[in-house]
Amino acid sequence: MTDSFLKLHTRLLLLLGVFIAAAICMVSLFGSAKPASEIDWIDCFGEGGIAVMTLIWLLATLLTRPKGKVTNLLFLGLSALHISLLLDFLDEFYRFDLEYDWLTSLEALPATLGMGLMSLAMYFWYHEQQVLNHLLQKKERFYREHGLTDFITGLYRADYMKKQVARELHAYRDNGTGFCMALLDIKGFSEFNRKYGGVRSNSLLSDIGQIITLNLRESDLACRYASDRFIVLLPDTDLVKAHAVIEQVAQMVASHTPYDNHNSALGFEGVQWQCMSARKDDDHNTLLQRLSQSLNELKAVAA
Amino acid sequence: MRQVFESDSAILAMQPLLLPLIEMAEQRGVSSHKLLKGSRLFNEDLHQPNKRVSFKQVVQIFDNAQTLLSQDGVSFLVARHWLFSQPEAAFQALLNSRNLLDMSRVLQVRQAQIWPLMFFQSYHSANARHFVVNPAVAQVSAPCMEFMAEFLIAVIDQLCRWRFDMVTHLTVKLPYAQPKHVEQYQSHLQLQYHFSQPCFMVSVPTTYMYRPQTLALTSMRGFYLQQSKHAENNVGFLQYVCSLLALSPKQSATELSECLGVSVATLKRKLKAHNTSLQALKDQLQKQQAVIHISERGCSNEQVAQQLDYADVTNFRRNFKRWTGMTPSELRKLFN
Repeated sequence: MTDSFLKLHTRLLLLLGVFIAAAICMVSLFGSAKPASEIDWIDCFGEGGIAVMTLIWLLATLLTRPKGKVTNLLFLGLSALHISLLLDFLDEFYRFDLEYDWLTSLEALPATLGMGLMSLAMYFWYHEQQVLNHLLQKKERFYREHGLTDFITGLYRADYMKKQVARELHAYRDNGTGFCMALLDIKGFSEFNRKYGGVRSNSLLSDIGQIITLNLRESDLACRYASDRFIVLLPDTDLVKAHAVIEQVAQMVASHTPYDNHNSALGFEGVQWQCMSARKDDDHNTLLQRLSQSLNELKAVAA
Repeated sequence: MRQVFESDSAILAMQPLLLPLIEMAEQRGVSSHKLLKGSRLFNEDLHQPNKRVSFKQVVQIFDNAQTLLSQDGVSFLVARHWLFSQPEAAFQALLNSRNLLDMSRVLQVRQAQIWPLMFFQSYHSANARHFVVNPAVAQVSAPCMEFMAEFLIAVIDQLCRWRFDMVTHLTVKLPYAQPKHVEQYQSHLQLQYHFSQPCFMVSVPTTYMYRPQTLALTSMRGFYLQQSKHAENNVGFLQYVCSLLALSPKQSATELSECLGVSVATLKRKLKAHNTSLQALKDQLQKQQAVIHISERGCSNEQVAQQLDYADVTNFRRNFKRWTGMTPSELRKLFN
């Protein structure tokens, strides 16, 4: 995430440079400059502004997207739009010579073509989003709020979970669909952290986040709780079933082997977990507090 | 002779705390520029080994960190890192103290080298020791207080787990309401904590004050104390004023200014620059004494009023309500 995608797009940027250069060359070759008295500066400012904005959109698109079909289409569409607007802007300063006057009528063509390409890009983007939504399935429910994601694991944070739990409790009181919550804690995480450093620990957290999400059912939701803890919401599930699901997750996590830069395996023992069903008189704070408390007790006994 | 330092004296060597904080912020998508905003410090400054910063600058950075990163629990993470990478001889003296009581004595004489930002005043009740903690230099903003408190209790929690194996018997009372990121407390801490309390206080049952520190080499304690003897021993402005007030709680601004060797006007100006006043400091001292008397020693209102030199109980009750927002009996109820 920290690397920008811009480096991937040197070719596209070069192509954009060529487009812009070609447009400017064409105008200056086939046209002649207007006298300053004929220039409408307010118009220049407006049209120039639009051209600059499309250029910013274009760069923002390249900055935030990896290579691929959707990116190429978006790039071509926006470039064409930009060229049209650029021509329109240059129009303020240049007048085409009489024999090339027909060029003026072509000004709007790239924009039309560009919008067509962008519509196509949107179509594919929609499909791409469907795929991404599927990948996010166990990481989010019903709504998206990127401000609530945890930077290290890419999962949502405790705040997001609290909202979901509050919602689930509401539903429980209204129509009696019970649910379970589980809290998982990485065994010996502080030793791991001391031994292998912050960067390794962060990537361990991220790996475990992935493993947990992979091994949950489609309806479940996993978030990062705090420190080395992950929290799982299991909607419409009784305690026996929830235990089985989390037991499976814990087994999968325990079989994970983290590696260092030299491909040697690092010591890691798996997770401790606690699972409980919600009560109708809980609010999200008391439920999470109770869960946390009972995991702490479990850890104290294990120690 | 201890040198008194003020909020804007650039004398604190905070790199062992600030550099990890900056790195952790960056790992979480917050640039050093954002974290240091308003402190007039740049990341490069802190990479100079002899760079000293002022309390004011530190407060600004903690404030930023708490506003931007409290959800990530960086105060707790930095505390863990800081504890396990302490090179100071004074800190080694701490790690080789016989027990917690001994540790508190070492801390008393070497606090400037270990944790100059806050100081503690120790009280005891029938079966516990209580350490009331306050900022040592100036009163700080609410986010900064939260950051410093989280940092300190995380250090205490980790230290007691590592050296004494008795952390669950410690109780911490925090002077602010339960924060939104309470999951960080639940996940990082094994000690007991309570929010919305009148003072920031760490309590340890007396028996645990004497539990031997298993990993300590007591012969090394004296060695490290000697080693750290000539290091700077500065004391923060508020800590110094509070220590003078503790000796004679009723003294006037004139008497206090004479002790400090400044004019009354200068004293008032300095107190204001440190976000407080003489009356506020007197209130703070009386409040914490009253709270200890009531909640830890089980004294009656009459006894406390007498201890604090009040002519009548009504007057004391009124002041207590003003200090804490609750009556003495409401505080008693809170603990029962």
